Amino acid sequence: MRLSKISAVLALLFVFLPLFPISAQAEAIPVTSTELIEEATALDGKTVSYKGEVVGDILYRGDHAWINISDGKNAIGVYVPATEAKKVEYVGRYCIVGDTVSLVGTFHRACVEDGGDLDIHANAVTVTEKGHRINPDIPSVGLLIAAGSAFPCALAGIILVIKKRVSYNETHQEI
Amino acid sequence: MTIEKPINRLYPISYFTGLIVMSLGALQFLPAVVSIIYSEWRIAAIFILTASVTSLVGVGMMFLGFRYRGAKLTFGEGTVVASGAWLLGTLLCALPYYLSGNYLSYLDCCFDVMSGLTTTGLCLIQDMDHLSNGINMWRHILTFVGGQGMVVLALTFLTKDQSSAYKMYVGEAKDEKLFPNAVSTSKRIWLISLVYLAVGTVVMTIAALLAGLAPDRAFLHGMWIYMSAWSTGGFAPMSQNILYYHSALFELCTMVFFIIGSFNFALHNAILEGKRGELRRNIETVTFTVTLTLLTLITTLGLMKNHVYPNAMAIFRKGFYQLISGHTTTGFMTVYARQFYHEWGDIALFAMVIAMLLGGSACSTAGGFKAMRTGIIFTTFKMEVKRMLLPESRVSEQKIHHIRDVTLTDSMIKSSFLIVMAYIFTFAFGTLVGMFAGFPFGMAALESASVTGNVGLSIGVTSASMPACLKFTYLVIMWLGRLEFMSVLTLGAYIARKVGRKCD
Amino acid sequence: MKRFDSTVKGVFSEILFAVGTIAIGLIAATLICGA
Repeated sequence: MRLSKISAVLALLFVFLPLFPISAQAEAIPVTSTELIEEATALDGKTVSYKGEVVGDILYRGDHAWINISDGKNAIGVYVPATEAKKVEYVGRYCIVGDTVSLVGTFHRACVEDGGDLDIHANAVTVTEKGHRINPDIPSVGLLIAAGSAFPCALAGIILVIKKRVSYNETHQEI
Repeated sequence: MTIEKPINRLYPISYFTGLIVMSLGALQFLPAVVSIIYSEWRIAAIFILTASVTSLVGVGMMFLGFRYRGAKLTFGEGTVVASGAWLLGTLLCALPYYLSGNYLSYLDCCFDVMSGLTTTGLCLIQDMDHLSNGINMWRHILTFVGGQGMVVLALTFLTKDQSSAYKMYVGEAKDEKLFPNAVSTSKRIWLISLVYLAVGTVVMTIAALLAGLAPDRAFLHGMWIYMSAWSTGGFAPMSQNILYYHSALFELCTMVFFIIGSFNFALHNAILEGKRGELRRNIETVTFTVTLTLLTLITTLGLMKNHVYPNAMAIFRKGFYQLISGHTTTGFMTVYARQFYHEWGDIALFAMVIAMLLGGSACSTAGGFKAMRTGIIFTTFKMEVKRMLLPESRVSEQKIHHIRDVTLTDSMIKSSFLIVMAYIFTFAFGTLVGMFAGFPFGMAALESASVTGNVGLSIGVTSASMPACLKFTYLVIMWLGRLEFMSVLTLGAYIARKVGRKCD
Repeated sequence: MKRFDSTVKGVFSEILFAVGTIAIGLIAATLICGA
């Protein structure tokens, strides 16, 4: 009776003990893009949490997509399911601030599946802050005046020089 | 006997330099158009302003020297025009960058312009991922035009060849005569480039579409990446360079175009006219294939030794890609700069330095020693060994094949060794300045090789925070490397003489 | 027409040469790396 109780406790321990390291592993390491590049070897294969602005384009590849996320220093490519990528509304461009997203995923220094790319594979992204357009890109008054006055002068100059060359070629022989 | 009147010579120099500057000014209207299409009003206004200012400077210089435009330039003066135009052009083409707000200083702007024109590809630009299409267009136009040469650009606008034309053409480090006169040669170079521009843009646009970009973005990126590949420049519209696209097919297409872009224009001309056998017989293609194979083996072995990449595909897409990008002096990257430093290991980096210094073909958009010189030097060694083995009475004449069989003369050999020594010295100097700026030897050497060979691969030295003296050193080295020393040195000597005369 | 013909063939030859050059890298990687 006692032996079977001990066996039962031991069996339970063997079942539950291994779970503890797993839950410790699932603790995502918060990283910046600089850390990912500088400490790529140390972080290779680890679970990381990364946050930044979506920039450029969302590159759909069948049921997955690449999103490039920049934290101001570097942009890192993240491979996510297409459904997650569709959550992103604004993508960073000129005069557009992209959505800020955060994610947890596995970091690869040289991804086996993706030809050695430095990337993160994530199953989900969370949009933490919506992007927006920056105010209309209107030139300042000074710039408008400068451009407006320089342009006709330049045009006149170019036309004059062409005319002078044409008339010179007609009346003179090339030495 | 005519006594030379120094002041008069400045007039024809002014005219031709002005012609080149005016062409650069007119070019700035193109990004203005792109900006207007994309409603980037501030950027469009900037380009209209700077295009006008640059054109006015050019036109002014042309008017100044107009009366003497028929005067024949000497070779010295031709090189002064070429290098002077490059210097003045750099200062003026930096204006749009400066007004855009994407740069921290005017020096940074000039650095990026010189980097573009010399088809190096290193950049100090800030916030590239939010760049306007206008500025991105300008970056890529600069590299496309710089690859062909701004002198070549201006010469296509000349209706008649003048003897001065050839002297300026040579001043820009081209000495291949595709045609008997420099104007026709320039026009042919542009024709070849435009034919490939059409083909290449279509192919790269399709590759970009397959990579997942939207149609209008795919077209812009496709065109820009093509222009950068053909000119072996290395600029890309996004901060991750080619890694941005995460596409093996895209990388493959870039490789095809930058390899072709590194060929000698005389080779293109021969092949497109039907002499296709030239591809296997030309001294440069043969030399390049040999050096590439050897360096690929060394790089692959070096990367394997350090277990840097997990499989053959990764070694190909990271190891070989960077190597051939460096050897053709393109500078496209599919790794982050600092990964070279942290991961690659010394053997692979050593191979990279050699590859970057050896460079691509002569009379092309590529930099470095050039395969022609490497081939000549190797042939010379062969010749000397043969001479030692053969009895003294036998005199052997060595021939090399470049479009036609050419006898290898002592003057060709001398000139090859001279220029290679100049490159090596420049590389050493660049490395030294890098070390004084605080960087370790390996980093300083790789970046210096990249700058000297107009490559553009970076190990992380180049950044807006690097010391101004290092930026300036790299800027001058890029210029020296692209114009192959002579024009820049001649310009320096010319200015020194003028100043010296005034002081007497 | 002959001019166009030789231009097209020329472009193809150059592309073929470039692909051959790229193959050097692929072959080296496969042979040295194994799988």
